[in-house]
Amino acid sequence: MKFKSYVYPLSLSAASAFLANKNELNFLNAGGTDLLGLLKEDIIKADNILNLKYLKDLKYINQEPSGELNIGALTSISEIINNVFIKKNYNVLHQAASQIASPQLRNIGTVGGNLCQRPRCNYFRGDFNCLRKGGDTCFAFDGFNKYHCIMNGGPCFIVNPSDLAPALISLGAFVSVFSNGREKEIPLQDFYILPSANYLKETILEKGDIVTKIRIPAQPRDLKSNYIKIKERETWDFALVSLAASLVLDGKKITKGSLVFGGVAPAPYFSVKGNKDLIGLDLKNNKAIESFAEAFVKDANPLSMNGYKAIMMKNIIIKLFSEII
Amino acid sequence: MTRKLIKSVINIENKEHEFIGEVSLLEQETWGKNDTLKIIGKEISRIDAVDKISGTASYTSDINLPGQLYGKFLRSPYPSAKILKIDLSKANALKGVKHILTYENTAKYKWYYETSFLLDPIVRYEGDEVAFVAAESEEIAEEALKLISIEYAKLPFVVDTEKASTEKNIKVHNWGNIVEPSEYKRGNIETGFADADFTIEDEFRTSVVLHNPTEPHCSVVNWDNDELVIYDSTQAVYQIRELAANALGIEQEKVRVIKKYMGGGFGSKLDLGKYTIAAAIVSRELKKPVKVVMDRKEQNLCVGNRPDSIQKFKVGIKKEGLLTALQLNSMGTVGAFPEGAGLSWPAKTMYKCPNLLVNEKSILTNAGAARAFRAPGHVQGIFGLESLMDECAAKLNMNPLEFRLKNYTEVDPVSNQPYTSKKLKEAYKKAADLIGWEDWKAAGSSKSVNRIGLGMASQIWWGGGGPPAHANIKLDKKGNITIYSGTQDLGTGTYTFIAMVASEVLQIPIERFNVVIGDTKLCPYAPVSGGSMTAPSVSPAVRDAAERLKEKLMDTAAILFDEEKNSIKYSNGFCVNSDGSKKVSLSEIAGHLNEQDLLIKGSRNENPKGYAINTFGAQFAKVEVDTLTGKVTVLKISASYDIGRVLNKLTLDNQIRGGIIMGLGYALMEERIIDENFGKVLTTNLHTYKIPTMMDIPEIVIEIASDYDPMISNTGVKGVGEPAIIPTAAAIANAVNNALGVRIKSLPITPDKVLIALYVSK
Ligand SMILES: Cc1cc2nc3c(=O)[nH]c(=O)nc-3n(C[C@@H](O)[C@@H](O)[C@H](O)COP(=O)(O)OP(=O)(O)OC[C@H]3O[C@@H](n4cnc5c(N)ncnc54)[C@H](O)[C@@H]3O)c2cc1C
Ligand code: SF4
Repeated sequence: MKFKSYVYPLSLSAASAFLANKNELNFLNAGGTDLLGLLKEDIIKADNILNLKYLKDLKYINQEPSGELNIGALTSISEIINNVFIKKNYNVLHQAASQIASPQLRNIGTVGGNLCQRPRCNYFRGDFNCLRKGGDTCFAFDGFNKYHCIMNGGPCFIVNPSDLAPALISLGAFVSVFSNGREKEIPLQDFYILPSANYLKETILEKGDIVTKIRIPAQPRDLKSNYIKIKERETWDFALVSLAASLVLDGKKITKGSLVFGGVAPAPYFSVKGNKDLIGLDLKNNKAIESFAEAFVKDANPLSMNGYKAIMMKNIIIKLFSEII
Repeated sequence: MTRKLIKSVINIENKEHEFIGEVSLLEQETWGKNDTLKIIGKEISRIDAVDKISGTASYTSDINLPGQLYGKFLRSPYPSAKILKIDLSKANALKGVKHILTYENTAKYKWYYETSFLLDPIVRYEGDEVAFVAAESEEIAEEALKLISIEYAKLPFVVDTEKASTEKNIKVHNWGNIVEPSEYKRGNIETGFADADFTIEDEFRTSVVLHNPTEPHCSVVNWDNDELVIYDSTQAVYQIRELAANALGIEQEKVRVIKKYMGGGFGSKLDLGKYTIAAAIVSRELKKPVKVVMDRKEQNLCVGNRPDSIQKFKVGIKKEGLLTALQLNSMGTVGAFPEGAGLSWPAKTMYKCPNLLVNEKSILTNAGAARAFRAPGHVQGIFGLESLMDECAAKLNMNPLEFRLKNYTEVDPVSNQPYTSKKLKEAYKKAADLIGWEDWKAAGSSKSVNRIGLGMASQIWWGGGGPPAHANIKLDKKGNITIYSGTQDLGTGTYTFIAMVASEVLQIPIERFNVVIGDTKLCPYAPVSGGSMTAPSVSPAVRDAAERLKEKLMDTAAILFDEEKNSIKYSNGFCVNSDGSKKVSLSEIAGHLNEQDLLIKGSRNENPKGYAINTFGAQFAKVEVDTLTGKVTVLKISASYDIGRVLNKLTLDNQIRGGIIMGLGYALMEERIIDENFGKVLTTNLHTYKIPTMMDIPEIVIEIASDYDPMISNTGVKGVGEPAIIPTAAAIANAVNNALGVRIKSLPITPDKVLIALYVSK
């Protein structure tokens, strides 16, 4: 791991300008839990590293009188977990944050970094010059693809590794990006792009763009939400499949809601139709749930080793519904 | 005559070793039960605990010698290739690079049982050593690796065990891919099957798993004139001395190996590292110390692993539950160099079965070479055998424990010799009671989403230890006592039990003892710390030495008191004369002696002839399986063992817990994954190679079934390090089957396999 300098900018615009430098490869380091690994393993090469540590106004959790919640990009995952308001009202976010990595990584890892982290594909992380690293082959396609996507894949088959992203998208969150001297806000679900559009990056961010904040709109008072993450070991493991759900129920009937999956697609996965079909679903009706879940995995297109994810995806819906009531 | 020379054979890590060595005649009677002893068997904190917890303990990787250089290997990125051209010019030009070894400029040091060299122009696995850089810092050495340019001719490779076993064209070595095929026969397999009421055939598989000790493999070497001093993170100071001397073609007496503290080895540190010899070569040339520390990727590629296994069984059983015949065909990969992947000892020795036929093969593939790994063979073998025994019991609608008791053997089925002790029945009972075995129901009884299952598995291993093993005890004139033994502490508590044994004999607090181990120059010979033989070999030698010292003290007191020796009594560090009027302390006696003659040697006795010495045990598991997610959660493991005498209850429990946790990893998550298209390992860090975390660890309850082995030594201790891991995976797999009514026949039992078994294969 070698780079020329490690800089601490004192303003967002200075940081953005530095990162935007066309002649150099400069990277933003938030908690560094992902970035340092990428550098150490020679997956990316950097000329300079930039740390936002001194931009204190990016580290906050603010609850507005309107009921909406603003979270600064440099807020740590642990701060999300420990926030009493989030714990009480946004179980889905609390649960998702609690199941990220390990306590040490959560103490230092940030929300912004979590949303922008690079994929965990073994080939991407190993010394394989695959498509996503500028090469011309996806080695996972006919290689070891147990942890890869079953939805929306091709020509690269990564899954989005973030646990926060599905939770936040299920809450209808927005992300603010500082770009070319201005801040713009977009729905978080539009932040991610599929490999079919561009397999060299995972988000819409351009050189010099910085994620500044997450805004979660005010939620219904009676919101029921949860996050289930299936992993191979109890902690310090990425999701095989995860599901974030934010629902409003009338008795046992869903009146409003959204399901977002992790671990199944290159971006957090949701189905517009699926979320529409949610409305009116009776959680006491096992048959209805079964066929609802079935419909969700209809589009699955597994690779040689990840067919189990389709079963898991269906089952995790059933599990979540049974636990939420 | 209190000693004699003997010729004997001992089994270490599944391999027989013959030796001639000096033994003490068993002069002291074995101690009685632990409740008659003062310190042995109690929970005693490690004497090195403060040193370790305070951070003052110095491990091999903490050692820095003045002017030392840092060594790093350049490793092959390909699983099979020939080196065509090496260009070192750029690397040599880098400031701080002192020396680079390649096969072109280095003598042909034979390696891997003479099938390769320290540096070989043919590389046979990803990670194979290509060049060794010594530089002024580790960073410079790493930088230099990137500047070395190697031109390779890639060769065809094979990484799949089954494929390699039949492959005609792709050969890992020009002589083929199969090592040591072996056959074992007992009785007549055909009549055995003919006698059976039922036969069952099945196949079980396990994955290659990696040791991944916390402390990486490392050496710091230096030549002190013509003496080579090696600080090594090793399980075997004496063996490293011998192997290093042989490799370098020098006298063993010119090599000193030192290891004080260590962060685990699990078998992977029984062998001499290429890094040690490369460092020694450079060090000799440049007259500077050289330090080499492996990184985690190297740990996952190059320093050993447990072979995988494909175990094909056929078993014959009688209606009433007796085994009539057992046939096993197995193979496993040992990686790119000859090693053993045999796993049949449990099948041969666990149960009474008159007719047996075993065929085993070890298969070469283009991957890192296997090394002994905590109970080599038995961990794989017990998984297969004990899964099969459960299937037999199920076939007969019998409780699995009852089935095992039906086939219980009181003699070793291979040698027909009786055991020095076998308390497996007692262990079954204790472990069964601890888990609540009375709740056991037939497999698949539960239909709920989250299903609870109970399972069990038995264990057998060697672990009786034996000679030669020596301990010297020295009393200085101030009364300080130092014990020297060429054994080593892997983190398991060797320092502490040595002090405890001496303390028990001499009846003075353990704080009074200095323990010096892990140094071939200061300490008399003791065996490798492998095969669960450290405590059973060394503790008797220490007791022997301490008893002899006690004798000497009483002799001296007799002279001081001018009385007959047999009238002197020894108690709590004092010698007292016949009428109690005179009393002299150990320190006072030492003062009188002024250090004369008080270096006393103790030795391990010979093992009794005509007996089999084994450890036994059982583990029972309670699991919960979520049938929606496929996730197996282990709720509880109970363990009970016949491991002879408990020396230190604290470190014993540590060993068993550690073994169970490691076994749980083997059962549920650990797996080295190789990309078949490129022959490269995809799991080279501790995130992708999954070992259990705190949150995966269940409640563990342990009760020991044995008091002591009455025949093997003056301490009656057997080993526990390896027995601890042997039955865990099988017990968990059996519990998973019990929960689901579906058997997962390959390890690890990951959620994908459970779901496929539940929803697809059915
Ligand atoms: C062993 C391990 C296990 C893990 N397990 C999980 C897990 O289970 N679930 C999970 O969700 N994650 C997991 N992670 C990923 C972990 O890195 C993130 O969870 C963490 O939140 C990243 O935050 P960071 O601040 O450390 O990011 P960094 O490493 O600092 O940054 C990550 C990437 O995002 C970019 N970036 C960071 N902040 C911004 C910003 N404000 N604007 C634009 N770009 C930005 C960086 O340039 C970099 O490319 C794991 C990581 C490791 C190493
Ligand atoms: S899935 Fe994507 S990141 Fe992985 S090998 Fe294929 S192209 Fe590369």
